[in-house]
Amino acid sequence: MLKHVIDKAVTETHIAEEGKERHDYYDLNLGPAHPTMHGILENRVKLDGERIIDAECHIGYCHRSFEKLSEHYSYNQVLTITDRMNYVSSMANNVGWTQAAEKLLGIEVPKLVQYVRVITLEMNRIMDHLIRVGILGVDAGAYTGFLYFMEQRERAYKIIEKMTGGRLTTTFGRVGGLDKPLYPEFKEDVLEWLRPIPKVLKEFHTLVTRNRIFIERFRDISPISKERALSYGFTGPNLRAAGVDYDLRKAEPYLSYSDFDFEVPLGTNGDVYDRYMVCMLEMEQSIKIIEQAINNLPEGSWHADIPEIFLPEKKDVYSSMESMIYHFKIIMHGIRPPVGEVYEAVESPNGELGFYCVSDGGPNPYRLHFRSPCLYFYQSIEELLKGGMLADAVITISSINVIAGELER
Amino acid sequence: MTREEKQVKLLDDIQKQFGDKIVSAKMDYGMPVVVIDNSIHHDIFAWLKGHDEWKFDHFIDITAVDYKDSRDARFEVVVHLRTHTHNLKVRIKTPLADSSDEKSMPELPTLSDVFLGASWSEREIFDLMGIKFANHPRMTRLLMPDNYEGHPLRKDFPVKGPHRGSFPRGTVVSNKRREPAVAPTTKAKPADQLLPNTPWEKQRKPLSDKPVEAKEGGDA
Repeated sequence: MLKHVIDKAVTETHIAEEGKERHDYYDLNLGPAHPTMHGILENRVKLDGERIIDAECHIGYCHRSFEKLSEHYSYNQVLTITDRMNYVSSMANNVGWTQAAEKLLGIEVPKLVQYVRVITLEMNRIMDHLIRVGILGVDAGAYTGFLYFMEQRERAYKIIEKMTGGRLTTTFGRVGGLDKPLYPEFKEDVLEWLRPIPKVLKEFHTLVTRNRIFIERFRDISPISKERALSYGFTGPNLRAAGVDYDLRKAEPYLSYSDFDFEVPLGTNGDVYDRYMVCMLEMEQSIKIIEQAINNLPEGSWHADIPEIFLPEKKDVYSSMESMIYHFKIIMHGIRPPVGEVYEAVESPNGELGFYCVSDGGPNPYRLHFRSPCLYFYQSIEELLKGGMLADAVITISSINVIAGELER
Repeated sequence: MTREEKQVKLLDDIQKQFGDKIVSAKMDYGMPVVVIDNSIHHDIFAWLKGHDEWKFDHFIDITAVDYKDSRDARFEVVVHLRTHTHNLKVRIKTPLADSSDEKSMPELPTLSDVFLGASWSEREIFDLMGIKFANHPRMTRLLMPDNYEGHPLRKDFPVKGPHRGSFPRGTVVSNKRREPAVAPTTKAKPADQLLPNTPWEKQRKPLSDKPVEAKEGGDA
């Protein structure tokens, strides 16, 4: 601990020192295509030996102009764009967008839909944290734990494939409900999936959490204070690791989160170890939420009763006059929300995923802005890397969990 | 005090502090929304952050909207902030008129000295929407290449891009020349001007029509 502080002070004097010759430093490009970069991220670092004295980050290699595209898509088509933002937990994005569109339209979905959305959000939180923590281990040299976790992720994909037909690009749900009724053995499948996870988490804890090597590698690496984290716009596990008790599920309970009993784990320093521990503990809470939701899964319709917005079933389109008219109206004229603007956010696994949507009364959003949590984490990287060792740079980038698809949209 | 009363009190406090610089302050979809004059764009955020009672110190988001012909002031910069002492969010909107000549951009003071997180988002707005932020430490493009022309999120930017090489839907591509068979749009520029200014791209030559000849003695 003390050594770290002294080293940091020495580096700061190095940075301030003006007389130092240019050839004493070494410029290194970490990325854009580097095995340790999670996605196509370019970090130019200036090295003094093994120590980073300056860093500069460039993004934009994965920019696909989603905000412009969505101005030309209908409200349900935007779902396909949101799949491709955070591809590690794509269903969380789907749920976020349907929530925003429903708020704009003033729809309240049935309790069953809310519960199923909670289950998918929490499933995705577990899946995201499994890969996030697993890869953090890989970057620090622990490959075994990663394989334990990937097996559980694969099992979750089987359920998601049964639910939606897709694995990564799920396009789950529609504005006003789910995309199709739940398949019959959904409850049993989810409970069956959950059963071994506490054991796997425990195994990972015994491998890493109290392991001397990892404590040395993780503790006091790239810490961030409460004030700076708030000023940077941190949300999600990274903010909670810094000690700010902010979880949208508790602060502004959307869906039916007020029905469930769960806790929000908090860190103190905001360093790599705290981020790791917050993620591990969050998974346990997510398991609790899913179990409560599955056991109390209410009966009811899988979509809201809004024929002018939600497409009728195919068999009704061919047999009933009204359904055919609504089908024609929705397909040809689209969903038309009132003029207005709305900001709706959900607690995605990475943090606050917000949708700022402006409607001019037409079938497409007039302007849609995705508030991606990654963009705000990644700005701080330049500051976090400065003064650290090169080997810690990899762990730092891994621990804040930047997903390039969400970062650049 | 309930949440609704707090929100009303917040709007009252802001109006009391800034008086006639506030264009409107009202509730919209359960969120306090304040439209301000662009002369207090920097001051109001510094005030909200430093206020003892409200303490809006959590930066959530900054973005911009282009209301091309529907409003007098073409752009609107939208900021979301959050306070943890009262568990509230607020949306501050700053209308901004387009610049009079084509070459310059509309300008606002930067927020990156108040909120660290505004830095990259403001670069994104500069890049995609074409609004400049004065006193920003690094006002360069964030997502598009540095030599890119135009601002994609503006409403007058075509969704398929201004390039001649963009293929409208249903275009028949001639196999011989590798170009769209339809005439380019009237606004299109010559393709030579759009080539980026890098050593690799300069040397790029158009594809020849001839098939590639097989090398002699190549492995079978």
